[in-house]
Amino acid sequence: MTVRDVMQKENKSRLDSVRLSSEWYDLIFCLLLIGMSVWFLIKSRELGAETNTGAINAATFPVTIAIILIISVIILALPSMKRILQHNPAQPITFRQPVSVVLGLVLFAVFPIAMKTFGYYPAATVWLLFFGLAAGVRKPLQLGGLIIGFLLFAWVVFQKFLGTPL
Amino acid sequence: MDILTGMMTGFSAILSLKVLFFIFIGILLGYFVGALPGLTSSMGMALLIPFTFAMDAVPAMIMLVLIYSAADYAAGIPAILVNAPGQPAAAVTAFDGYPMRRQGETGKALTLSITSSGIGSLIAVIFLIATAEVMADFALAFGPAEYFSLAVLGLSLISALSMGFVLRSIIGMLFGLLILTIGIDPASGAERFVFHIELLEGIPFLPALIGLFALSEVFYMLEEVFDPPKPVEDIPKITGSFSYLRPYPKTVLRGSVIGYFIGVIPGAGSSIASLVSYGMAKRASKKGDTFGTGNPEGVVASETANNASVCGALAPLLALGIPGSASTAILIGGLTIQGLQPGPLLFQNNPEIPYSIFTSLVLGIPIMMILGLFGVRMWIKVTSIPKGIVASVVGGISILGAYASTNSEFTIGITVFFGIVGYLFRKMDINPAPIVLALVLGVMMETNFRRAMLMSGDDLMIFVIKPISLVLLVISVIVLFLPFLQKLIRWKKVKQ
Repeated sequence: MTVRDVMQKENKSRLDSVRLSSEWYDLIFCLLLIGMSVWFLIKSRELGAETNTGAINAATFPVTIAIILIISVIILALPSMKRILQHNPAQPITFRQPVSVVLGLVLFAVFPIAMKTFGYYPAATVWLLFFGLAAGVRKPLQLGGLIIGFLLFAWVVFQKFLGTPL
Repeated sequence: MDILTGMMTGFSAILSLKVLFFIFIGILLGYFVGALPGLTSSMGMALLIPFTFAMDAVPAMIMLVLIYSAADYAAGIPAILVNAPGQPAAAVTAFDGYPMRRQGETGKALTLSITSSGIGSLIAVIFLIATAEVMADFALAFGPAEYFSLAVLGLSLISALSMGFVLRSIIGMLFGLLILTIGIDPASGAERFVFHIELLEGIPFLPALIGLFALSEVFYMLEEVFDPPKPVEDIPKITGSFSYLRPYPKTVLRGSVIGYFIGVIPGAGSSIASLVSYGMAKRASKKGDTFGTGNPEGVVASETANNASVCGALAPLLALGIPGSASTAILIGGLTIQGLQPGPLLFQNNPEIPYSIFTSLVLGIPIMMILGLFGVRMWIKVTSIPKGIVASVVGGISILGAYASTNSEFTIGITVFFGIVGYLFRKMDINPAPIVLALVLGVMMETNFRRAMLMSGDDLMIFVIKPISLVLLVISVIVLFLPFLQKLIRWKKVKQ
């Protein structure tokens, strides 16, 4: 088996895309936005009369926006609900290369914690290695160049020039 | 200040080695961002803002503006070479530029793109210099009611940014307005919705910006990292001759005027400018039916307009403090970081800023043309950088940029949050631009609303009895509901 065969096999076995129903995607998002708006509405009640400037207080603007957002989201959700009930789905939403994207998301989410625990340079070295691999940078020379080049750039530009304490 | 004195002030502000260096750097970076498909000017500017922390206001703003301008300038190169526009506006350039390449006229197409972009920008800079301070003087008479209405108009124009998804864009805008209320209330000083001590001063703008524009794009790049690259094997010969433009003087002038004035309208942007200019050139041309098959006039019409619109977009930003696009919203962020307030007072208090921007644009255009004409070999190499490496570098700079803004890991978390939000929102056709416009204009809207209400003794009529405010509100309502009305009319026609 040649290297080309192995690569072709790897390419075939790679999960290329995931499709989600756009109606359910819309509905989940609408629910999240309604939840967020309701949280703002509840918290607005804690803003008392001491924040009044005339008839308007600190809660007026967020409450108005939250109510308009809830109404807009309901208007957006209605056609999706209708399509679900009528079994008439629209074009699904495609997430291409989900493994790379999810890995990327996880690496970004973990980075602040890793940086706080180990410091910038060790955390960034590991992060760049795994992120590079997730982003399809497989040649050792490219990967090594990416890590060393980026860390050097961070040290010169951010630490030395901008004075960022890394 | 009269224009001549202003320009002299501008020239004296930029004529130092340090500023000239940043002019060159801005153009180079803008070219890089524009030539690389997938990177946009707004993304490049968001990533570059952290680098301006240690800089003076003049070189910082000049560098950001030139990144914006050069990115649009260079976007025609990949559109012609590989049919992958570097910026959305250059998609129109590809209509004729790419067929010209396939017909073996790559050198001519690139020369036309670069020279017509330069002429278009130059004409638009003249318009900008002539109109910006006039607009600012007019806006000096504005009070809180007018500013509130102006912010409403700016936000209502998101329907123009929505590319057919008006309701979704409105939801994006409302999301931005709602999260903007986190932090200290601008009128009473009370804490609002602060669930973490580092949110006391509100959602940090720069990390949010980097997340929405740069990080969300990184996730999109990750979706494409295994796509086969589009290699460019031959290096086209570019003559740099202006003689190619000789048959199209009317198209150049028309494109520049259309581009500038469409650019001035907040929300319209360079994509609409190049489309309108292309459409009008097609109608006016005797060979209109050959547009889309490699007609050089199509390249000229698109490139003049989309580059002229960049100068147009700077006019309301500098004169009124109203960003008309994602890129100009980022420029507002850049100005704020430097402690400057965009708007009419900028011309009075810091005239060196707008005028140094004008003069740097004038000085930058020949540099852009030279870089375009003689650096084509380099820009071809740029288009072939693997997406995986670009994604890793952009991701790494996003993290560093967010951290450098406050030296706190918490802001990296904010960037990651907005990156994920931007990515998931884009999947449901909600563009990040309305969210950023809301973050910029929301404070202006709420603060001036409350000021106006205080001044009027809580009488809402203040927004209607002031004529400028009334006109702005009427335009806002028309702009906001026009797409719905058009949809309704189309639906009725289909039904009939």
